[in-house]
Amino acid sequence: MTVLATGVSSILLLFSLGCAKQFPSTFPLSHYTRGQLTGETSPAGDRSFTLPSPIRAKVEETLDQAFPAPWTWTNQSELSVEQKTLIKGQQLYQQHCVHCHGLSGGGDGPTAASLIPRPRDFRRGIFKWKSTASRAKPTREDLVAILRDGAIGTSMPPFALLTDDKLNAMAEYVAYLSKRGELERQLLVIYSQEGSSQEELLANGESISDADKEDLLELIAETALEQKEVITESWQEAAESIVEAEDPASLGVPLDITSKEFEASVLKGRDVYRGDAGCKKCHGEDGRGVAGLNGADAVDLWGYPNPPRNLTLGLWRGGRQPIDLYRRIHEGIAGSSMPGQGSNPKVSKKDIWDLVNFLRVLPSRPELLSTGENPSPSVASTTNH
Amino acid sequence: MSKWSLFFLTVPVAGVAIFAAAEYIGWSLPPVQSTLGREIDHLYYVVLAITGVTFIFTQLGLAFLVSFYARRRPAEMESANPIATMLFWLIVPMAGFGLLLYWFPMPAESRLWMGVSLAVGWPLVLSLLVSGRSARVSSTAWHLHGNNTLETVWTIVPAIIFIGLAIYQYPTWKQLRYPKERPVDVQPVRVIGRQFEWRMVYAGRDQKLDTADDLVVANELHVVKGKEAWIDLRAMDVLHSFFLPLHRVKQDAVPGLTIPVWFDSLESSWEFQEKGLLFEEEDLLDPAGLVAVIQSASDPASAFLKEKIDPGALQLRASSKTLVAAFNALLALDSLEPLAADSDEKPLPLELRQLAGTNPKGDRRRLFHRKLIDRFAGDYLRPVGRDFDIVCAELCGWGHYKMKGRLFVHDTPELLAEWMEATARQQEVTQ
Repeated sequence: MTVLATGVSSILLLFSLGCAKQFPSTFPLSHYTRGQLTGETSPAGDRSFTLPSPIRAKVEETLDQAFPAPWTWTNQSELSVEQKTLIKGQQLYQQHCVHCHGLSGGGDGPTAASLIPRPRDFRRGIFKWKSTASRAKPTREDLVAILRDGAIGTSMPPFALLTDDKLNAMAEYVAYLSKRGELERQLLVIYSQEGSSQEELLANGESISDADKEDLLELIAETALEQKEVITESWQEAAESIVEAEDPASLGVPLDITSKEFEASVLKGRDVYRGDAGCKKCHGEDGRGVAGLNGADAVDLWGYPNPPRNLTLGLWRGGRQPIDLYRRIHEGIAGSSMPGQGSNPKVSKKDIWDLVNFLRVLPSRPELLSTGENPSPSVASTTNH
Repeated sequence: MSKWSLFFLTVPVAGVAIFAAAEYIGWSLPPVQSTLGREIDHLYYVVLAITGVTFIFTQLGLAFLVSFYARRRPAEMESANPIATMLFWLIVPMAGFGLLLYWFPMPAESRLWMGVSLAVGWPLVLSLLVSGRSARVSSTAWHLHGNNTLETVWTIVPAIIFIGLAIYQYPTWKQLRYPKERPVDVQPVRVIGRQFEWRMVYAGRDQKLDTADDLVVANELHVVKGKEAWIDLRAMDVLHSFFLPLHRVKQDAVPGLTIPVWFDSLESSWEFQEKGLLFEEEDLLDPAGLVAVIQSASDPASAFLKEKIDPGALQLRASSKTLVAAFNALLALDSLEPLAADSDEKPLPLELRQLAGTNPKGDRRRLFHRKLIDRFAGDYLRPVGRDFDIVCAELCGWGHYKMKGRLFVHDTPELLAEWMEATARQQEVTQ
């Protein structure tokens, strides 16, 4: 009887305590290695990098002032519309995104480690699937499009059933996390280039001199103010960097697959693929991607394996509209080794449209790239768009 | 009366109680939306009736026997005849009352509750009647030889029932799995499950799959009312289970296989939504925003509300200034006065919800009128949940609810064609 009573009461106790999520009072500071911050790798290998506590406190405080955590805004009556949107976005993010993308958007949620490819790390401010120029930020519409349609070929699901205002709030919050992450990184970079890490200070028995410390704290505060402006502006200006394509019809490229000239366009696109655009260097003679590339070609900016896409699968992660493919080819893919053809003098705008047509039919007609001596088996019947 | 017999008695009692309550707590089947679904439901109820009745009587028998033997000394065991006793006192009276209930004309609800009272009450009365007798359990084990006749009976009877069910359900199964040929004018939709989405691929303008103009839509399947819809079901990564709960379609999607599935729809999505739209708490809204929406509402909305709402009654409902402002704007009234201070932000959505009737089942969500939605659609007022669901009935079903999609049933083939044309145009964007 006693055992039973104890069991029941402990279960009741568990229920009463609940599993309430305890949020930290601010975003936790990201952990980078020195190599990740400076881009240099030392012969001793990449070392972990911890800020000395006064510097760390300053960085945390500065970041919290610039980008406070929305869950700490409790006074409803004083909130602006933007803040309310961020709160809504944060709640939705907590529900739908956080388990992969992580609390502060580092692509490091609990399930991230089991995913290939890894979830996007927003903190670099670099996004692959967007309508804007390679170096520019994505527009809110770009973020919403990925949320709504998902990214096929990755673990990013579509949230097509969520309402537009929810998707907008989520996109807004992703942008917020990205801005915060970018600023955080820049503040950490300042110190990582100049100062010793906590570990090094401890190992050498040193401490930061007061003068040094004051200088650094001031530098951090100044940079934060400056860079917050720069980052915020870069997001605001995203819409100005949208890559506009000339109407293919005016260039004589038909997109209608039933038109007579379509086949010629496809064949022309194949020539571009094999020739001037240099696609086959990475994507291969047969379009299935060259295995075993090394160096920068093998990993992306985040250090994860990033093999050239198998183009015969028809899995277009950044969208399958002709304009999506056009922009991908024109601008390349930020953070990866995929270069943009927009700057390639040998490839004209018309060539890019022909290439788009070629890529649209390639999944259903992989024989277009069969090399002769080693004919590819047809994958038309197993194509999974 | 043994404690254990009471324990076993609770099982049939709880079973009957849950069955009776199922309809009211949402545990029964949702409304059926396909012709084959009706047959499948019928089969389900036949099996439920057979197993349910058997289950209840077996549990009652068990409780009875425990009680019966608990009251007998070892010497009485051999001569006792539990089956005869049970038949006489328990089964026969209950079956008699049951038949009487079934035949005697009365409202369905009274029949249900009298049935429940009978199933619960009679065994209880019996237990009370016999509980006065002395009970003494022997501590010595004793040998009881099995009963071959009984064993034969309880093997053959279920076997006959099984075979009967197999024959009875065969026509439905045949229609489901081995239907007549796919009609020539029906273009199949390829449905591909992947973690975590349903990807629907329609043939584009060239009417062929696997060409550059295929239409690819995530999580939205579009079909036509009253017409067979054919699906080629595939999976990209792991097992999924394509599940249309209201159409009673459930089929595993297996990597490497293409599995044909067909169904039809009795109601279009529009008709389904006409019956009432559901709101959820979170979709209701910020009063300030709603005022803005209402103020820009067109005349027909006012007319509609005027017709629906008695302004006198409305006055009673107007409990906040925001609400009053909204209704004044809407109904072109000047006179509506607030009855209470504008202290709470909540009254408006609550009040608005009450205007157009409530869900008969007392659901947490409430019904709302389609026309009202049309007028006030916007960021603050939005219908949810009254679509035909598509879900994954594998593990993806609940936790990974992102595999939830929407089946859209168009009223006519022309409307479907219109949608496909619009999607095709949208997918050919070049600017």
